[in-house]
Amino acid sequence: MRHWTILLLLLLFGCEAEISEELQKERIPPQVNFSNHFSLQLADSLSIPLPKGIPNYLGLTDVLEEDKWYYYKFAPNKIAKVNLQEGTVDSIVLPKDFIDGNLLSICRIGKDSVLLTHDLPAALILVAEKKNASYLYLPKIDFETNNTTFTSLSNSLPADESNFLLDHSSLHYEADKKQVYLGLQPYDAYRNPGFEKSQRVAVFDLKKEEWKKTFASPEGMLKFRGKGSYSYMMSQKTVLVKGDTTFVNYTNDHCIYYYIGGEYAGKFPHISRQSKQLHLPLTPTEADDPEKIKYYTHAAPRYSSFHYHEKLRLYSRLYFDQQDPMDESGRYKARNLFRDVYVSFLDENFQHVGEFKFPNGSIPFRGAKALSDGFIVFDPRHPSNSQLDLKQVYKIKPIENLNQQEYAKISEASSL
Amino acid sequence: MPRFLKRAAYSFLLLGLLYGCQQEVYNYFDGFHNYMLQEHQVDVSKTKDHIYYIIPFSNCNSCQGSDLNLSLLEEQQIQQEKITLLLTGNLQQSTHRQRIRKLSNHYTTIQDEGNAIDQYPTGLSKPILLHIQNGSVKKYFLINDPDIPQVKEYLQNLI
Repeated sequence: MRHWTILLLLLLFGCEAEISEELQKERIPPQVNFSNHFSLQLADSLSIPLPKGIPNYLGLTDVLEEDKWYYYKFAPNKIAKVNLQEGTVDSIVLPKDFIDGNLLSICRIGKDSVLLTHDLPAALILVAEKKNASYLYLPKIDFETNNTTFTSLSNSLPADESNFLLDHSSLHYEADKKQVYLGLQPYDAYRNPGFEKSQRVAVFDLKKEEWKKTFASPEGMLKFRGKGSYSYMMSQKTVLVKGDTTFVNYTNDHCIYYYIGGEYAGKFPHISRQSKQLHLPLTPTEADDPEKIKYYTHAAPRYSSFHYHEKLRLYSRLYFDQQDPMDESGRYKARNLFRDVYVSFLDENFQHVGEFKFPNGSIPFRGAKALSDGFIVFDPRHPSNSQLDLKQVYKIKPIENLNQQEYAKISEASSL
Repeated sequence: MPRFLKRAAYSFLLLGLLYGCQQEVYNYFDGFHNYMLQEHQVDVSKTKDHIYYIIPFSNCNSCQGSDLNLSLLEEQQIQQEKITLLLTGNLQQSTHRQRIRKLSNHYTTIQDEGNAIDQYPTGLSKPILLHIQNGSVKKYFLINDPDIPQVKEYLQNLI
């Protein structure tokens, strides 16, 4: 009888992936002290006329730097430059030799020049007004990994071919050193085990055209995933570079991890009052089922972007609360549109100093763009051809500076 | 409980577990039923004996998988009255447009250009064959490229 029981248990464990204690611990929101010194206040709405031939924003590749917003849309192959202070839109016309493809990030490197990242193949594209686009294909990286299949495949690649996937919206240009910071992950690292030590941020020297350094191996949920597998969505991250500090923000992790000069320096929780338990990695069987991945994208709680608001010296992070994924007719609901979305603020000592709940239905995933003192929120679903409607411009306000009426309004809006 | 009965019960449980780990079961019939009913006004719960061959074109318009499945269907025209082709995604971009046009002369073809199927839990990421008999799934294939000969054999055995 004992043998039967052992066999039964072995079979049961054989069908399920192992979930470690560390992983269980990491998925629960940590205890933090919340104080309420800052909130968002709806300040304005902007309607900027679009010159003829410049497309409206469709929620694709874009960047907002120093309150100047650049976004790209293929055909008519232009990069729109929006000056939010002046309410004007201009454009950079892309050269004829520009090849459309899988563009992931933009960053501004001069008045009329931008750098773009292209995935598959991984490349940097420098676009300067009235000049040809120059393409720089990124060479492979010697990742630390225990995955022997990856290592042998990687070794068989020529040196000038890449062995990684680039992240969305994770490109930073360091003008002094002529270097770029890129968020990335080795091919298949989200799917397969053995990448616990592999680096997820890389610095590329534009002058020497070589990798300068790589760092930021996974921490937290990704580090403790065991035999489980993360879908591409669950392993996404954004990278924020501020001086010599690099912050790594995983969408499926309660903490932010930071690195000084490329060395791991620590982590801090950045959560919402509403944060829930995060999704566990998928078992190998679940990972083969597209509906399990859809469940994550439509239902599971997750964080999105992480920002620094220079004028107020505050960090912010958006949290998308969990939702019932299906509507009454058995269809999936919109992934993000009907979720409760919160933004929480940390001061420079990484203490929670405020939180705000965006009005329901106002904010799609990545639909809030951080300003140096607030946010602009877009709904790219019904773009107009003639104007850019920024219906919600929020400013971060210290609560003690608000009068009673304003405070009541904010409290009501943020449901705190 | 007598000892032999306990042993028998464990054996059945073990066999059930082994079967459960290995058998390919289609877990999304409700989602597929809802999709067909709401988007195409077809009630598959009333289907007596029919095959739905679903090919997604939204992820890969020109890749080998679509090519192999289309070739298989081109060869299997004897089963045409028994098979409905369900093509999802934007076919305007597909390099196989000509072939699809020819196939739709032979098979009943439903095109879901707007990819409405994505809103329903159907387990669709690769081509799927669903053989429905008396309102339930008799056979299900999630068709990876190496499974094509197996699918071909299954269709030929139905002749």
